[in-house]
Amino acid sequence: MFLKYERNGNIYRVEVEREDHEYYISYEGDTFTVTAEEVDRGYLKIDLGGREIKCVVSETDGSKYVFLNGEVFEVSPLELTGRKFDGKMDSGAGESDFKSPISGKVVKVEVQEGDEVKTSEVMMVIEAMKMEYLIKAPWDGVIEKVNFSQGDQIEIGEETLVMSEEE
Amino acid sequence: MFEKVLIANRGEIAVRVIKACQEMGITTVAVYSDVDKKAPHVINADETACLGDPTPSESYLNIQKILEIAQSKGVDAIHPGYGFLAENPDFAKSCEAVDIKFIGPTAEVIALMGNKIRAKKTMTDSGVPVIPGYHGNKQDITTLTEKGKKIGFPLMVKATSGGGGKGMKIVREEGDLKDAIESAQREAKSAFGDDSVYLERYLKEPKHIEFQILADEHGNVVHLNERDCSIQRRHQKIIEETPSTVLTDELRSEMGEAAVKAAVAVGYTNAGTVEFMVDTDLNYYFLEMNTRLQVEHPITEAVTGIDIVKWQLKIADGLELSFKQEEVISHGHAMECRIYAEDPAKGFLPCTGTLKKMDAPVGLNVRNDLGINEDMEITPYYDPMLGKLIVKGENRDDCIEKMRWALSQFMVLGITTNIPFLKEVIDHEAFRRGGITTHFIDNYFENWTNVKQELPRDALIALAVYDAMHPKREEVVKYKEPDPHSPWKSAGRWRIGV
Repeated sequence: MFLKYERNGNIYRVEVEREDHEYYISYEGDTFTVTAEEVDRGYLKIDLGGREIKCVVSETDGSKYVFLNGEVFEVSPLELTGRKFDGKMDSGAGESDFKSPISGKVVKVEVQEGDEVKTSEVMMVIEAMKMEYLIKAPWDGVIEKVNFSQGDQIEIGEETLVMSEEE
Repeated sequence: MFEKVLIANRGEIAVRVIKACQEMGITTVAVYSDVDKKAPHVINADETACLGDPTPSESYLNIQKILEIAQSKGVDAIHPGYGFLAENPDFAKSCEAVDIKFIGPTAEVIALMGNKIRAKKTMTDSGVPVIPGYHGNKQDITTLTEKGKKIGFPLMVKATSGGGGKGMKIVREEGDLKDAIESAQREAKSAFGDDSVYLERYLKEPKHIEFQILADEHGNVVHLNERDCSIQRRHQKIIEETPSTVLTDELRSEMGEAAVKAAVAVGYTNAGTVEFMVDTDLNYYFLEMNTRLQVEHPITEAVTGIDIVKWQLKIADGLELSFKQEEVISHGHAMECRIYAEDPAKGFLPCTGTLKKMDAPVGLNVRNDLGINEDMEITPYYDPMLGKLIVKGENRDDCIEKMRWALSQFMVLGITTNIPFLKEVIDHEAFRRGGITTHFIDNYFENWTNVKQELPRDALIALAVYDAMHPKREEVVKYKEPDPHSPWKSAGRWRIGV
C-alpha cells in the first residue's frame, strides 16, 4: 500500500507490502526489508538487517506519533489524492495518484469509459489478503480510460484508471 | 490526627496530598469537575464528590460548593494544594467559620503577604533586606525624583496598579529619571486609571532563590535550605534545583536565618516559602512570601528527606516539629522539570487534546508527580502542567545526567509537550556552567524552534509498519454490505486523484 505523511511542510511518500511478519518498505528509491512484531498495542519491535528499532506508535484524529530514541515525532497522514497539499509542497507533483494501493485481484469494475462519476462513487474494488480496497472518485468527473477488468491481477502502484481532471 | 481530609484541588498536587494522607491513615475526599471524572486524583482518593461545571469559578474556585461537600462528608480539614484557593484569605476564613481546619497559615497572614507593599514594609521593619525602593503615597514629581536619587541607579519605575509591563521603565542614569517617571505616570493613568507609581532598584542579572519554611503552631520555625528557580519564562518557573550553584555555606545560613526571621515576623504557621532576588554581587532581597505548598517542593524533599506535605498535616493538627534547624541536612543535588502541555516552538501555546499514550521513567532517585493518565482529555480549563519530573544525584553533574536520561524515557503521545525544550535547556552550556539568571530563557531561547524537524528514516519505517498492521476500517469494508450506502459514505484514505 501507499502511504503519505506530512511533517513541517515535508511530504514523505512510502510504499509498504506485508507478508506475515515481513514488510517491504520503499522510500526514495531504497527498499528495506524488515521483520516486525507488535509487542503491545503500538509498541513495535522492528528488525532491520539485524539492527533493532524499538518504538511506540500512536494516533489521534489528525496525527500519528512515533516515540523513538527518546524523541516524539508527529506526522499528519495525508490522503493519497494529495488534495490537502498542492503541487508546490508535493515533490511528486504531476504524478498520477490513480494507483492501486496494494497488489491483489480486481474483483469489481463499476465504471467504463465515458461514464460520469460523482465524488465518493466507488469505481473499482481490489481484493488482497481477504480485504477489499475501494477506489473512489475524488471529485465529480468523467472516466477517460479503465485499465483493468474484473478478475485481473493488479500490482501495487499500477494505474487503475484515468479520470478527467478536477474542474 | 485528622480522620478525614478534603483536597480542594486537582492534578498532580491533589494526587500528592492524597498519597500523603493515605500513608498517615487519613481518609481522603477528592472533588472534581465534570471533565475530571477519570482524573488520577479522583481514582486515587477514598471518597469523591463532583463539583459539576468545569469552569474554575464554578468548580475548584467555588468556595461555597467545596465547603458544602466538606461539611456533608464530615471532613476535619481541607488541604488547598497550590493555585486555586490556596492563597485566598476568604477561603481560609470560611473554613475556620464552619470549624474545618484550613491546612496552611491563618487568613490574616495570607492577606498580609498577599499585599506586596504591606509585606515589604513588614519585612523592612523586621530587618529583612528588601529591594531598595519607594512605595509611598507622595506622588509629586519632586518627592519621586528625590527618592529615586536616594535609591540609586539603575532603577525601575513601576505602576502601583500595574502588570504586563505597562507603566514600567528602567532608568539607567539620573538625567533620565524625571522624564521616565512622568511617562510611566501617563502610561499607568491610561492603562489602569491610576497614575501612582513606585520606585525600586533594578537588579542586574538577578537570580531567584527561595527558602522553604516549616513553622509549627508552638513557635518553632525551621528552614529546609534553598531552591534555585532562576530558569523561568515570563515568571513561570520551568526548572528548579537545589542547592543553588551560587550560594556559599555562609550565605546560605544567613539567607536561611533571614527567611526564618521573615516567617517569625508575621507569625507564620505551616509550610511556606520566602522568595529572594539575588544580584551579581550576591546581595539578596526579599521578594515575596508564598503562603502555601510550592510546585517545586519535591526537590527539597529529595535532598532533606523531609516529607513537607506530611508535616503540613501534622502541623495543622497541632503537632510540634520533631527536629531542630541543625538537624536539617541536605544531601546531593536535586532537580525538577515541569512537564507542560505546550508547544515551545509556537510561543509556548498550551496544547489540548487526548493523551493517547504515556510512560514515565522509573529508577533510583527518579520521582514522577503526575496528574495524567492514558486517554485523558487535556482541556483548556486548567493549568497546562501535566506533571513534574524530579531526580536526585550525588552531585550536580550526576543529577543533570540522570535528568537527561529521565527526560529521554518520558513518553507523551497525542499532546505536544515542552520535553524537547527541557532537554535543550539542560544540555545548554550556560546551564551546565551554573549561576543562571532569570534572563536565561530570554537570552538563549528567545525564538526557539525544535531543530529536529526531519523525520528520521527509522520513524518512517515504524509508521509504515504500523499502518500496514492496522489498515483503516474504511479501507477494508466489504463490498457486499447489506446496506449499500454504508461503505460508500465513509471516505477512506485510498481515494484517488491527481
